[in-house]
Amino acid sequence: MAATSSRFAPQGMLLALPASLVVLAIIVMPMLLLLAGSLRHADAGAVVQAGLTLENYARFFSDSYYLKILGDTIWVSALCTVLALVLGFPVAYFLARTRSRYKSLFIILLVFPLLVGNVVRAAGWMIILGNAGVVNSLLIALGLAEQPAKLLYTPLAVILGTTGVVLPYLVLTLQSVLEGIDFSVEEAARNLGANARTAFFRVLLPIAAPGVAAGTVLVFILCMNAYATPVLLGGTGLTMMAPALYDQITKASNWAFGSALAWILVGATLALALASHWLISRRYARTMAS
Amino acid sequence: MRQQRRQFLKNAGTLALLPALGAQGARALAAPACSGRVVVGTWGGDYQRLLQQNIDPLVQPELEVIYDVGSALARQTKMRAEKGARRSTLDVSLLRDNDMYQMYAEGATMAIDPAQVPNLANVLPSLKRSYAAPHIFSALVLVYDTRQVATAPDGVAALLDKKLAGRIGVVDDQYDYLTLAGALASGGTVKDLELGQKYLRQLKANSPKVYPSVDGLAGALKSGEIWVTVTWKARALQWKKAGLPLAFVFPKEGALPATFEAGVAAGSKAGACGMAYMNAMLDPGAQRAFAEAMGYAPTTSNAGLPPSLQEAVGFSSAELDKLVAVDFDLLAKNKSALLDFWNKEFRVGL
Repeated sequence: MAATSSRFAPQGMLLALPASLVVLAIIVMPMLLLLAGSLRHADAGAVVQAGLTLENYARFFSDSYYLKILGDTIWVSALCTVLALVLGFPVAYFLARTRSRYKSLFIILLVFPLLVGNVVRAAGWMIILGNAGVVNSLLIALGLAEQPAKLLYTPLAVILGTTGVVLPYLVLTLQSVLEGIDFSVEEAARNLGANARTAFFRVLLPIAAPGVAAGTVLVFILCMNAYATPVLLGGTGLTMMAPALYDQITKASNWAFGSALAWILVGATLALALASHWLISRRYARTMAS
Repeated sequence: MRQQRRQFLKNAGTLALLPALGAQGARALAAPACSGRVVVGTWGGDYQRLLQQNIDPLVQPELEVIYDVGSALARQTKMRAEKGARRSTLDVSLLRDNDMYQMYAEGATMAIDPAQVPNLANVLPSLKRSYAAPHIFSALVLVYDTRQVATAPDGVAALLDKKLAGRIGVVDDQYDYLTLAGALASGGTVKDLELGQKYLRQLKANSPKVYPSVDGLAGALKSGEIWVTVTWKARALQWKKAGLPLAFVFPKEGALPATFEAGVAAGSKAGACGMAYMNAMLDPGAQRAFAEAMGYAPTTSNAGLPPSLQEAVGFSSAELDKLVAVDFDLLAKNKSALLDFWNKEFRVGL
């Protein structure tokens, strides 16, 4: 029994081998190539130059324009993650607790937006937020505005669009976590005199914390790497890291600097995701213990 | 002598029969000098459909054409990755002229053998390259809303007119060509990049709106958000066809062409078949079909467009003379700096 449950069981390692090789070939190898590219001198007319240099990283960290792009990417992603959590938790809670025969229908409705590509959803937001769009037409018709308000190509548009994209992922993750919780503990807390707020924050949330942490980290990573929504809804009003690095490769043919931006994005995402996961786990580990 | 006369009569008879033979006759002339499979990397949608409809019949059955639909970046990456490889997955790559030049500069294109692409003889001289065949082209023109702009602008400098403040639209992707157009509008050449940036600073004072895509620009023109822009003539024709009240003007200082080109990837193992495919792309019938369907001008002088179509999509001799050749080498070397200027200075606050 001890042998089969060993972390280094040969059978387990063998089973993991095909997937590991695939990950190595399609993720790790290209990432290493990008890393090597980011350490090369950028020169027009050639993708790879001889010699190693940190000039691309130095250029990024010494230029306030690029630092602002990283800062904007972080705050927009954090805000979208918080919004998705605030909006998504009640939905996930409802789906986990409901005994309605329409539960499957609700889940299908939730998954439905995932069947439509990000570009199509962004196009929908463009119709809603454009100068001649639904919101501006309503504002003008109701006499609340004389001229169309600038809603499209703003941070607001990106936040709305990105939150819409990631919301189903978070709800589905939270729902599966909440489904696994025995809700009688919440009822027990209420029986012992806790109000709904206390029962939620002192009992339910600490139990759900690991799942919440996993869901929020997943969503935060998706936000940090968002491309289509920031391009189509942010326009020139907000530039995020993924569009900026893509521009360096496609518009400026500067693979070296584009690769450096890619690695800075990976590093920042990883560091923030790990930090937030550690913080949530630490915070609720203490609550659980108490 | 007798033999020559007989040969002449035979050739004359063949030529006289050609119109009657129609497409079959044209096919016979365009028949490829190789056989096998050729992989053509292209954009999807109408472009690929038109290639299938108009090029394939000219090269089949000798060539089996496989279309690899994807982004220009994907094609460039394949060309780069496969230039020294033992196997290749791409033979003919279709790219914009500036991207194709980049591939040429990186050694990722095969030199064209004119003997294998005889239709190159009909290509407009200003569009000829040693590394690619020009397929279709358009040029940057001034487009304006006829409901709002009473006096047609005559050149790109007209965008600095204060009466147009806040009503000018530009596309983010065209940062490099707008810099070049600004240099021309300021009396310089396409090499005067700083003059172009000076023009952009002046344009910024007129509060232009920057759109992420040409489609965004079309939407803004439609809604009346903007009244005037600089864009490709082919796009303006498409919008006009769709009912937008637009007119366009060929800038008096000259216009920058945009050519969509075909090149054989350096790593291709079917170079001769790739050349044969490129030759078919320059066939007069195929050139006419693309002009009719896409609104782009033919790159050959023998396309034989009907007068009405020529007037709509083509360029007059005077306009062809005023097409300004882009210095792709200079552009490639300065792209990063131009993009930085555009992002950090021009776009900020617009």
